[in-house]
Amino acid sequence: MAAAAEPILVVDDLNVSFDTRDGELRAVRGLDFALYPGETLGIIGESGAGKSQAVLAVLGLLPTNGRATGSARYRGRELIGMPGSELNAVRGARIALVFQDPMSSLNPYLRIRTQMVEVLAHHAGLRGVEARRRAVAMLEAVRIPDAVRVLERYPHEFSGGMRQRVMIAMALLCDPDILVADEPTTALDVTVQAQVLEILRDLQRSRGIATLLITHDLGVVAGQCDRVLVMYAGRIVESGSVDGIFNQPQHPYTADLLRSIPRLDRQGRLNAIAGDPPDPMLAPPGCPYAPRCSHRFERCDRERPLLGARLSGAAACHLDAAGD
Amino acid sequence: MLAHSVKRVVGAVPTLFILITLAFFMMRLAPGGPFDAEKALAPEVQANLDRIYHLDEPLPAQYARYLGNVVRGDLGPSFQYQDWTVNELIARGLPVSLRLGVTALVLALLLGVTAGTLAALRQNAATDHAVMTAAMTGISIPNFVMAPLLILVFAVWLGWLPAGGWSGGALRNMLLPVVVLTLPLVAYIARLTRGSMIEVLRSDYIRTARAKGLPERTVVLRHALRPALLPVVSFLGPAIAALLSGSLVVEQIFGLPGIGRYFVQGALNRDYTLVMGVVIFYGSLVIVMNVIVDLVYAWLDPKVRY
Repeated sequence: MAAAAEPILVVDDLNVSFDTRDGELRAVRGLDFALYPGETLGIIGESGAGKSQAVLAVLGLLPTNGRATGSARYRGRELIGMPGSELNAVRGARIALVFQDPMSSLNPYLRIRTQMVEVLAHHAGLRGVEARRRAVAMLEAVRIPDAVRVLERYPHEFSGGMRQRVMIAMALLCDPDILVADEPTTALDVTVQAQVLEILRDLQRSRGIATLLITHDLGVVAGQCDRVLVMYAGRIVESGSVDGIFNQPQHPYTADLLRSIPRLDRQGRLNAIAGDPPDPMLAPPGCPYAPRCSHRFERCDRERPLLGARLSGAAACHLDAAGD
Repeated sequence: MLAHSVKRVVGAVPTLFILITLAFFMMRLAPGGPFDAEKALAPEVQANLDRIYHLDEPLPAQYARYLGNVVRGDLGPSFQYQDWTVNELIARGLPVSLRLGVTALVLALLLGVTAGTLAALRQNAATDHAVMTAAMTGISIPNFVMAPLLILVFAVWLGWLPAGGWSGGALRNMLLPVVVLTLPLVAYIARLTRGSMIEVLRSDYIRTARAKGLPERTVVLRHALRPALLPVVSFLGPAIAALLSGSLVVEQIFGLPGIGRYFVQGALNRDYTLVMGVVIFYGSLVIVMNVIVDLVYAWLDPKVRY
C-alpha cells in the first residue's frame, strides 16, 4: 500500500543465535524485510520460528547469551551494535513494543502512573501535571474508563485485557513511528482479543504508525495486516499481501498452515501439520520444511530454496508455481 | 494494617508464654544454684537467702510468682548483681547492644545488597566470582573463630585496634566486634540479593522497562531492586535473631558491657532471673521485629495488603 515511500525500517541479513550448553542455537537465519510508514506487516509462524527473537534483536533486547549479526536500519540508522545509550533514545520513543503476556509485562511493584510517567520523563522531559495529563489522555485513547484513578493503581488490580490496554497506551505515549506488537492478544480471552485488536487497529490508523505484528494466529493476520511474512525455522519462506497469502499461498507450509485453521463449517479431524520444526541446533542442507512437506522431491533434500518472486509476493520453494 | 500488627503481637503471647516456661524450668534443671561458691555457705545464711529470693517455696509457686511479676513488667532482682534489678541491668546494657546490633544490621544490608546487585549485573564475571567467594568464606567462618583471629591480627600483631573494651562506644572499639557480627550477614544477604536479582532481571517486566528505553540505572534501581529485595526482607527476621545470638559471643569475647554479656555471665552464675529476663526481652524483640519486617514487606509488595 505504501510501496512508493521510503521504508522506515530495513532489516538485512539478520541472524540471531544463542550460546547454550549444547552449543550454538540459531534462531534467526538471514532475515530480510522492510517496513513502510503506516503499514501493518504481519510476521507469522509457529512457536520457535524466530519471530520474537528477530524483533528483540533489532531493539537490543536479547538475553545475555543471545547475539545478533546483520543489519537493521531505522531511518537509515543502524540499530544492530548501537551503544545502549543511543538505543535508549530510539526504544520506547521511536520504536515501541507491546509484549505477549500483559500479566507479567507490567512491573507489579510500581503504580501505573510511575510506569507511564517515567517514559515521558525520560524521552520527552515531561514531569508532574503535564506528564500526568498526557498519561490520562493516552489511557482514555485505549478506552480505559476512569483513567485518572487507574493511574494510581497497581497492575494486579486489573484484568489481562485492561493491562494489555495499559501496555498499548504506555507504548504509544511518545508517538512512535513503529509499534512492534509481539503476540499482543495470545494471552487474552477471545472476546477481549477482539477489543484489543480493534483498539490497536484504530490507533494505528488514526496515528499512522507502522506496525509490526507478530502472531501465530492467521485470523489476527487476516484482520489486521496489509502484508505478511511467513517464517519457518528462522527464515522467511513466503511473503506477500494478505490477499495473496490467503487466496494463493505459494509455499506448501503456508498452504498447510491455512488448512490447519479450525473451521466451524467443516466436520472431521483438524488438519494438523505432521512432524516438528527442525532442531535449531542443526542445519541440514536442504529445505527446512522438506521433512514435513507433502510436495517434497529429491532436490528439496539437497538444496535449500531461496526466496524468489512469484505471481504475488515471494516464496522459498523449489516448486515453480503455487503450492499445488 | 495497624489491626494486623496488633493481632500479630497479641498472637505472640502464647509463644512468649512457652518461652518463659521453658526458660524457667530449664534454668532450674541446670545443676547448682545462684549462691554456690567454693566455700559452702553456712546453712542459716543459705536459708536466709533462699527465703529472701523465695527459693524455699515449691517450684510451681515460684513459677506462678515469676509469671505474675513478668506480666506486671517486673523481671525481678538479679541474684548476682546485688542491688540491681534485671530491668535495670537490661536498661544499662541495651544502649551498647543496640548500637552494636543496629550498626551491624545497617552495614550488612548496605554492603550485602550492593555486593549482591553488582554480582548479579556482572553474572559469572570476575566481580561475581570474587563476591561469591568472599561471601562463602564469610558464611563458613563461625564468629567464635573469626573474633579471636581478628584480635590476633589487628590487636596483637599489628596493634592497630584494641583487643576489647567499649570506651563509651568509640569507633576503634566498635570496629572489630561490628566486623565479626556483620560479615556473615553481608555474605548471606549478598548471596540472597544476587540470586533474586538475577531472577528478577530475567523477568518480562524488566524486558518491558528496557524496551521503554530507560537507562540501565533506572531499570535496576527503580524496576528490579524492590522485587529483588523481598527475599532479603524475609531474611531480616532470622537475621535479627542471628545478630542477637552473635552478640552473646561477640560481647563476651570483646568484653563489651551489653545485654549479651550479662546473659552469658548470668548463665554461668545461675543468675536465674537475669537469664530469664534476657530471654524474655530478646524473645519479645524478635517477635516485634518480625512484625515490623512483615510491614516492610507489605510496603514493598503492593500485592500484600493487610
